[in-house]
Amino acid sequence: MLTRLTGGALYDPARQINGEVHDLYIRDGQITAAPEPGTLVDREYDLRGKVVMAGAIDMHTHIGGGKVNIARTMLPEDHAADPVPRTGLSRSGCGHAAPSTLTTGYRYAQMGYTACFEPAVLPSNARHAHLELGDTPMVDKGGYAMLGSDELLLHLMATGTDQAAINDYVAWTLHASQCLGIKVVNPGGISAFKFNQRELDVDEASASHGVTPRDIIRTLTRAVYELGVPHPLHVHASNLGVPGNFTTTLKTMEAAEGLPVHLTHIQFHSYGTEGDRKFSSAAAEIAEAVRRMPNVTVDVGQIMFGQTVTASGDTMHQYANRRFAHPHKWMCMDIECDAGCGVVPFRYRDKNFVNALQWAIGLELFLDIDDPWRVFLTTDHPNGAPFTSYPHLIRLLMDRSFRNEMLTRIHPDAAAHSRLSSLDREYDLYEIAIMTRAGPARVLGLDDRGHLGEGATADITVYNPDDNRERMFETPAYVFKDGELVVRDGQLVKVVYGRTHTVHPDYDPSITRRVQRYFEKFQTVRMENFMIGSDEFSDDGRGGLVVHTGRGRSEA
Amino acid sequence: MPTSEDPLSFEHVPCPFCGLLCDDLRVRVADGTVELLDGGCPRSQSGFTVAGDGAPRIAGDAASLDEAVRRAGELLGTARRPVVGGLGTDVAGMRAVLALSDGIGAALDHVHGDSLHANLRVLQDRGWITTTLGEVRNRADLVVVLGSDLFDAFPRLIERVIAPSSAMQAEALQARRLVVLGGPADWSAPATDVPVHYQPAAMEDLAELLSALRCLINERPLQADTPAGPTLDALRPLAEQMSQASYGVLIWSTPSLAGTHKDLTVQCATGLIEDLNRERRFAGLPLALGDGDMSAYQVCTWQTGYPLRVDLAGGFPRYDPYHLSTARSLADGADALLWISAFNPTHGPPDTQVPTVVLGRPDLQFPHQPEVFIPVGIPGLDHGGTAFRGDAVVSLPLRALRSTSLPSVAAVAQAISERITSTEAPC
Repeated sequence: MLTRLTGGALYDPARQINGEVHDLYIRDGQITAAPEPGTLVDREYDLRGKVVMAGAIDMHTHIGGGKVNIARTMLPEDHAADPVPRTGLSRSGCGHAAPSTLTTGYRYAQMGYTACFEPAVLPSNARHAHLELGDTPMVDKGGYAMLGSDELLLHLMATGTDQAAINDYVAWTLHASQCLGIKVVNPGGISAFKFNQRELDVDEASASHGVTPRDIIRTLTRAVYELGVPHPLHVHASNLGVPGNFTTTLKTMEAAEGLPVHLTHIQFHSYGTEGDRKFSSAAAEIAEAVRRMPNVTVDVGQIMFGQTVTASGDTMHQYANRRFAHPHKWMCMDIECDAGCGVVPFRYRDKNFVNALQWAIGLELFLDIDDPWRVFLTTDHPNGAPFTSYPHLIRLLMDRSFRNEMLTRIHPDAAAHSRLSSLDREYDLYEIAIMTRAGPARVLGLDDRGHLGEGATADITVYNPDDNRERMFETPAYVFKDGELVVRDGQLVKVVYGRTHTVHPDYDPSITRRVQRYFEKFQTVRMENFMIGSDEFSDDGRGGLVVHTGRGRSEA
Repeated sequence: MPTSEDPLSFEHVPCPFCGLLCDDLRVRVADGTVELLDGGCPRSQSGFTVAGDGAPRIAGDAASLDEAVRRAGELLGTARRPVVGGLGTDVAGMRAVLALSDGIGAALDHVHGDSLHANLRVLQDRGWITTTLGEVRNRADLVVVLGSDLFDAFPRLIERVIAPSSAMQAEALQARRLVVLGGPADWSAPATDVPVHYQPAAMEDLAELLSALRCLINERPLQADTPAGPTLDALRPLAEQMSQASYGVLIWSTPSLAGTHKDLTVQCATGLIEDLNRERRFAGLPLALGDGDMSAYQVCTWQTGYPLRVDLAGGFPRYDPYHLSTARSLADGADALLWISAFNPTHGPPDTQVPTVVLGRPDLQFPHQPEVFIPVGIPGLDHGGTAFRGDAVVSLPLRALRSTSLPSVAAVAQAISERITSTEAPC
């Protein structure tokens, strides 16, 4: 079966194609070279006048696992406002802040997204996360395993274990949890909170282990780098949401000591303490640091006004933020000497000074950071806003007059405190394609995604150009997943299941005996049952597993 | 899968018959019979012992699986208000049951729905601070248990969690005290290395007892001298212990909390815990009983957004924790019941005149013969699968320990779905 996509304008930054018209050919789910003249084309789509990009990739979105399901449980009133009926094609569910898994998959595809990555997979909850991702159709998926507040790593570090053994433990964790990367959340802080520490800055030693967040970041960035895991250590820095935290963020960047590191939802970590309200934007300082440190990538975690829910592993700060819960209910959970989670529903208000400035800070970061290869478009779904707000966010970035119009609606003091009105930059389609496709694919090591070159997986999104960029990105003309048409004019036409991506770096298996002893002595499950077998992905007919390595990859 | 008649041994076997989901069992299997060598308890012993011949029945008469599926499809596919209850199954079973329920527009509830929702109402109304088994084992220096009968529901809780042989925070284990609040005056605490203090009380008085403790902890005046029985002076040492604990844990399992307002007792407990966290750390552990309750809750929540007691009749999920209990649904005009109980032989369908299809263990007990009975395999014995533990976080792979011809709930539910779809398809 040969499919031709004819005459579309391609935005394919990985190959430096900026709006040039090329035909694309698809065979067996992949983009293929133009066939010999005279070859029979089975199916043709006329894309003249349309914009063609690779399928979009969300590299940080909380869509599956324990904390997301707790958020769903806590928000029946939010679901009731967005019921999703079943159709002949698709299952029923609910949407908005914490959508059901099936709806999540449908809606991502309807926006032209073909891959999503859950950034906070507790190894002790990884099987659960994968079960939810398994029930999330339409997209490829994967997760980042959380380390850094697990008692075993902290113990290994506190007792001076050498880097090689720690690398082995990190590799074991990736295998055991079937994840694509390693995430650290408030390094050491989730553990410290269990020992009743309520704050922990980068150079502060935890009372329990005497390990600092800086030690943890240095050790884990190095482990990830030395193991050849493509995605750099994914860092949710210390002091989330705390006024003045930008200095913490700068120290966190430096703690990587030049090795690749990704700082996530950086908007929540770019706050100063200037002004009467002791809350100000430090976006300029953060953007300058990103410019200065080429080893650093970030995603923004933009907030949008309205009701949402925050779900995070950072129990220390979720507990501290409980008083802002709206509606007024919140939960925190300590989990298995592994990590934790906290869920706090939240409503961002445009007339609230702090919320309005958070909104402006996120946009300042997008506009100040001049390298779109190193800044990715996220709302930290659902923490800053539901992922369905992406088209609106894209319009804010691409359309200065629209942005300035929105700026007039927020709290006037916040608008006055922000440099936003003076930032003239408008993203173009090429830059949007970088930050939503080519950039995330590169930072995740997904060589055959995020571009339209020969051999790429045929995940392709086609848009009708529209000066209203929100409308354009909300309703793609066509979305192809693995070469099959799955969405037309924003409507589902076929339900498919994507694959789960994991990385299996080589390691010295002798670490397993140590981990096994730890489990037998202290844990309430056996290591043998804790580890997720690759066969657990093949039994349910939902797309299976793609195993990446540091050097290449093989399909399992 | 083992087929030999020689005995086979298995290690690290998870036991799916209570909320603890212990996975350290060592078993030997010969001729389809499981012998527990290590890690057994009364509940696993009875759970792994299965009687019954495994033949499907229609109105009490033996039938083929095909015939039983066809009849089940007729009943459920033509029902106007079908209800799915019991839900004693694993993750795969729940996935298939939800797909079927979405197709026929059914309302769903679990056999432990009352208990689940006593907890969920508190989570949905105000939230809570909770913990998991592994944290309790390694960190707690004070464990307070509500209701002496909790130890019957979780036979190995003391051995595996409260008084384990080792803990990461060795000093915490060394200092650990167990306090049991509520239960009959003549209950005697099990022998354990952890010192136990028992405060008998009627279970329906626990809300009052917890509220009194909350007052003492917050140094608030209290009108009563003898809240829920004990004198205030008798409660002061416990209030003191709770205030001083470095990491205290309060464990409850809602079925043992008497009265119709279990959620109030839970709310008193979670409010007390919230206050204790102002200065120190303290956490709740609401333990779900098992019988597939956590698996059903989790899958239903991620697929529909709602934690069971959800009705799919309108074409989209509608949640009502009050009106959508199985009992209410049956009384309110349900015209077909699909009942599922693959774990627990005593959880038969309710005594109802509503035509009933049962997918259950071969030895499931009935009040009377249902219209259709399809014996199914037991997850973790007859087939593999995944189940969630009672602390809601951990899920474990269940294993097939013997080979049987019994189909899984997932397979039967899918067959019924296909049967209904093929019947509806235009000729």
